Amino acid sequence: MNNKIINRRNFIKGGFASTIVASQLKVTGVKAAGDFDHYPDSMGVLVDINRCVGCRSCEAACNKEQGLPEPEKPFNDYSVFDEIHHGRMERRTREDRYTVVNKYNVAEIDHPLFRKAQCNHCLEPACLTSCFVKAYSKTPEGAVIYNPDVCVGCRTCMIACPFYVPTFKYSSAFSPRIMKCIFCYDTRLKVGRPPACVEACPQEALIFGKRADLLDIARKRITNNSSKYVNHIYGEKEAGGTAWLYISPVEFSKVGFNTHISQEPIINFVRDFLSMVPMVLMIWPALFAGFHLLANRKDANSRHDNDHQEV
Amino acid sequence: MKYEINHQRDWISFILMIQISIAVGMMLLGFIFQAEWAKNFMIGVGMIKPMHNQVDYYTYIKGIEYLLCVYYFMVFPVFYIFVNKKKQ
Amino acid sequence: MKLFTINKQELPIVDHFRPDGSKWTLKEKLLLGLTFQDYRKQFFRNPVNWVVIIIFLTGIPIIIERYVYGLASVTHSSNDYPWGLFLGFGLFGMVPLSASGFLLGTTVELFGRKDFHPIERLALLNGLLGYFFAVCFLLVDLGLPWRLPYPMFVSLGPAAVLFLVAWHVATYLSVQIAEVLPSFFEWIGWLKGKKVIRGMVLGLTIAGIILSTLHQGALGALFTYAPGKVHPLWLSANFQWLHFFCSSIFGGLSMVIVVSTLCKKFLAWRCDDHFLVSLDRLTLGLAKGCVFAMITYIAIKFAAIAHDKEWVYLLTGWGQYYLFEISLAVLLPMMLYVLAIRKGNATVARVAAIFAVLGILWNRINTCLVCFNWYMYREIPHWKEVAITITVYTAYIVTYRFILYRLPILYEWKGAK
Ligand code: SF4
Ligand code: SF4
Repeated sequence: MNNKIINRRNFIKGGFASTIVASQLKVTGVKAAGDFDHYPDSMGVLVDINRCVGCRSCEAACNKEQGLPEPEKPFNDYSVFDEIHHGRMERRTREDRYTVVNKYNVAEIDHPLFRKAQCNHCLEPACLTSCFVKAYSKTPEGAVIYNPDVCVGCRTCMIACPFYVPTFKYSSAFSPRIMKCIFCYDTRLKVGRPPACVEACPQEALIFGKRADLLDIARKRITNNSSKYVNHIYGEKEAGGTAWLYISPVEFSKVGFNTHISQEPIINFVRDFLSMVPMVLMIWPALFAGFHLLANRKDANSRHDNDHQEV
Repeated sequence: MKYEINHQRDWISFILMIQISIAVGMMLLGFIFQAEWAKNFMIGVGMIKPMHNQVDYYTYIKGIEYLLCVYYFMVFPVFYIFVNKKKQ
Repeated sequence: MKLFTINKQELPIVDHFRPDGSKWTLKEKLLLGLTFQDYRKQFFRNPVNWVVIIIFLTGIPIIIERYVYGLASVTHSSNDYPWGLFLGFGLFGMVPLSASGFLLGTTVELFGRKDFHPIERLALLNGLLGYFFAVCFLLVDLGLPWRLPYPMFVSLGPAAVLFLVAWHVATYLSVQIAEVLPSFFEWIGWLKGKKVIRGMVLGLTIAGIILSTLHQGALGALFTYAPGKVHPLWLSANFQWLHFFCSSIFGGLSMVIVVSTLCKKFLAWRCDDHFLVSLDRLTLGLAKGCVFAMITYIAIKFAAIAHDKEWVYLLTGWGQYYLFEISLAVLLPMMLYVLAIRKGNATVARVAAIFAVLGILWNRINTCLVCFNWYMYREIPHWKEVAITITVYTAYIVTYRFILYRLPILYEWKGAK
């Protein structure tokens, strides 16, 4: 918040014209995600799949922190990893769980790997941009939070999220809402504390910090142990970048990640249509009024005849 | 279709047109002379605001665009009727 | 309505006055000039009404269940497929089939083609009801339907595509009500109201074109939020809105052909000679509109494949399904239409129209359900979801019929206009 005010003051001091010119110079047509600073001090979490042992402490901590209903099986019941679900093989986020840990057996490693999934708190959130009542907002701290008081329940955000994160409280008839991880924004992130799952992790598989610093840490880990990691930080660029970052010992596709996600933020796919809208709104009136005037020749023809007669 | 309009409506549309021109003129003047009120106005309505991500930026530019469109929808019919008015 | 067809001498109630010169009351107009007992008798004699009653008796309790116990009680509550049949069929399917209103409005009012006049009102009504029931489907599907006005007045998210859909459907619905009102005003005999609307008709028509272009397009653009989820062949980030808009043109026109055929067959007692005589000619006129939209549609579909370089997908099973869809849903009806036009045979055009209408529905359901999450499992809708969809659609048909029976849509009002 602070730097916003400073910016504004500087800018007024610098004079109106110069800022306008400066901003004009920067703009060459369409603004892309790269033209924005994405809250440089915002926070994130780095997940090291090498370190996760699948103890589900984070799931338990999240459930408690967010006051979610108690699950059918307790959190120390590991049979959930082998459950087979309608359609998909693995568990996913649901209205009663904001985060899940899933188990993956991969050929090249003799022990199973685990991956925690939750909202990735995108830098350019698809859920936010698809919501027609602005129920979502991206906070300067990095969280993507949700306001149930305006949500209409159209579920477009669930269509838009490339990570299949938001879920809908279908079970409620009178106050359904979107249920998704909010980075413990209200209770922790806002006051600078790490989210409950990170605090609960006994293995330091999750580390909390500034996203920029986490990227450095991740890069260092990869370069220092190049045999232990694949050279990719999942979330650095996916869907325009996410606040949660992952590093893994095996190809990400083998541990349940969708590796087909474009690096472009979702809004870039919608942009073509959005930019055409005001053009239609402003061009069609005169275009079709013009067609109408041109098509109704009766007056014109008779006038033409009149002119001839006069000559 | 009736293009003829009575005198009273004629006046109303005329006054509307004048108001609109005044508004547009003031905006232009404000821009050109960088008037203090123009600055305050633009800051007030958020026309100049640091943006941190593209999605918020879109929410903002689309909002202004659609406002302009709505404004145009009010202007255009008046304009059309005014242009097509037949002399009595 | 056997009563009228068997001993048909003249159309029932086409004027404010009885043959003997006294005025019809509103109640008599509503009952089509029958006594209540007679009306009830003929109502129960019609087997269609029995089917309707059975559908309502099963469907309405399920709809109540949905509102009392939530969506979970009637759907699979899928988080992977947030949009099911209600939107796939009800919104994405009904709306393109309702494009007829703006198309014939433009033809008649904007381009002054008065020869299409006999079918204009049917097209306008088809548009209005299609939209209205699309909104009904939306009200079933939304988690919090009572917040429907929120995007307009409470919290505005102008960058969202659905924001446009909401605004456009709402304004277009009012435009369409205004466009259909003249028939209602004639029927109740309030000519002043009709005159007011006549004065605005050009504005309404142009508003209709703008709003239709945008939200037929916007419905397509909604899928561009899911570039990784919809199968690439069914999605083109750049052209999706044009695909949806273009296909809505032949969808809407074909729907008018289908409905007018049904009217001619089952509602002949309500049509006047003007309508019946010109119908074949008009059908072929509409068919001509369809073929141009269809050939454009096929062209831009392939342009999209080229633009995104997706040729290789055509070699997969999905590609075959895609080509199958295009052939059966667009190419076949297009060829039938061409045949109909060349031979001057309206019956062939009517067959083509059925294919085209089903084809549009098929395409929308493909985009929304079948080819959504194409690398995942398929979602089969819950039977209660199907039942609700059928019930709401039946309500649509019943309302449609109710209005056609009464208002001067298929016939011209003989009284003061
Ligand atoms: S992961 Fe999905 S829900 Fe989370 S911020 Fe990104 S788009 Fe929104
Ligand atoms: S379901 Fe709610 S939060 Fe999601 S897009 Fe719709 S209104 Fe917005």
